[in-house]
Amino acid sequence: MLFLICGAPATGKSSVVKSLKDKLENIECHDSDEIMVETGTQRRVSNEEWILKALEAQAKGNDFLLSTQSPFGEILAAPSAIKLDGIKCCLFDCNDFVRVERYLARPQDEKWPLGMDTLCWAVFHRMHAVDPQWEQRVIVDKELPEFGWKRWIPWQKGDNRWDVKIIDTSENTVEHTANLVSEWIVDEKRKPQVLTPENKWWE
Amino acid sequence: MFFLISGAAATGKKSVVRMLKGKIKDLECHWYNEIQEEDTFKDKHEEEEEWVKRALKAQAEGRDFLLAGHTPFGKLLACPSAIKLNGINCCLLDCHDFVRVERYLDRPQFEEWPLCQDTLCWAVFHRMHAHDPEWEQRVVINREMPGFQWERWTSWTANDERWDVKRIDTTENEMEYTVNLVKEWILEEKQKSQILTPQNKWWV
Repeated sequence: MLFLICGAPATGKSSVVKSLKDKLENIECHDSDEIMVETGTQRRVSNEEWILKALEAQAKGNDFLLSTQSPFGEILAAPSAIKLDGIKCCLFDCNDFVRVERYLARPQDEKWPLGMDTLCWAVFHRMHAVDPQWEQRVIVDKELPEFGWKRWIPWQKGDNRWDVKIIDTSENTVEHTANLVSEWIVDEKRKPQVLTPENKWWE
Repeated sequence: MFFLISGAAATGKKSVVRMLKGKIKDLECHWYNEIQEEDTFKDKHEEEEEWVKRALKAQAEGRDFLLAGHTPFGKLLACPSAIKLNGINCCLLDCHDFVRVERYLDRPQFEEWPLCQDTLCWAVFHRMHAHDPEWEQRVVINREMPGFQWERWTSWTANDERWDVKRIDTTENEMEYTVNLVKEWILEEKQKSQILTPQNKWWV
């Protein structure tokens, strides 16, 4: 199974994945920053690489946890996503003031200055997590026609295939958030999965 | 004294005006779009300044003035005549995105203002601008607005006492509760000594 921790910058994704490494059994934990990308299209292309790694883990009987800025729809559209035995997504969110504070507390990158784009990207994540219809133009990438955007773009809010858990990390310590993620993974592993090859969820 | 109730769409600004009318002695309450309904002002740039002029008329007659609308604090302060007001106070009405979307969809829809990213990003700007005058000033500054003096405040920082915007999060509030909070805020402000007055030359 692929477990995604997604969200805009400064919600604690990388820290939580780091703290979960070695704590979860039979799960490979990765941060998407391990593959450097500079554009949205590059990020979407790199998702396919990550899914191939998740499929390797799956073949060995392991699950795969990935923290990423990619919203759920980008992962579902990656060509090989249909081969995964389950895909679950959790959005890390926080309020704007906390995000700004966290963002400014870490090393700054000239390429990604804090600004409206930072917070509007967080807005998109928040809305996309609850409604697959929300402003699809933000991520549906015409430069990648081979991607499976049509797998999910007709889905409506409330579709049981679009089940994104939201964790608001505004007031959480990393440890508390990591515990919530750990519980979420254990819960999900007990449930029958919807996004599997057998269910042909993309049809 | 001028009271600005500012904020993006669907936080309850218009309802506050409606419910506050007549509740505070010598306070005129207005909704920004009233001026658009008059259809006198062909140039949108004139609208904010016109509201300030109307507030100055009320001021001369011994009344305070409340205006609710999308106008951010910085835009009001930049209005040519704003420096003549005996006190300017601003309160941002804000709410969580999910609640904003719900409220927005619950009211009549206009083709020219569909609910979208822009709706929520404008709310983000309001939130950050209320807290920090240095936040993305490019969003509000329009050099083509004749007579507007943006430099009155563009060098201010988040801790500047002149940039004192109250924020009310209406996410979980009944309308009546929010109206009471606004009413309390106005009454408190009226008792305080004002900073943004002609005597203080706050724009210097």
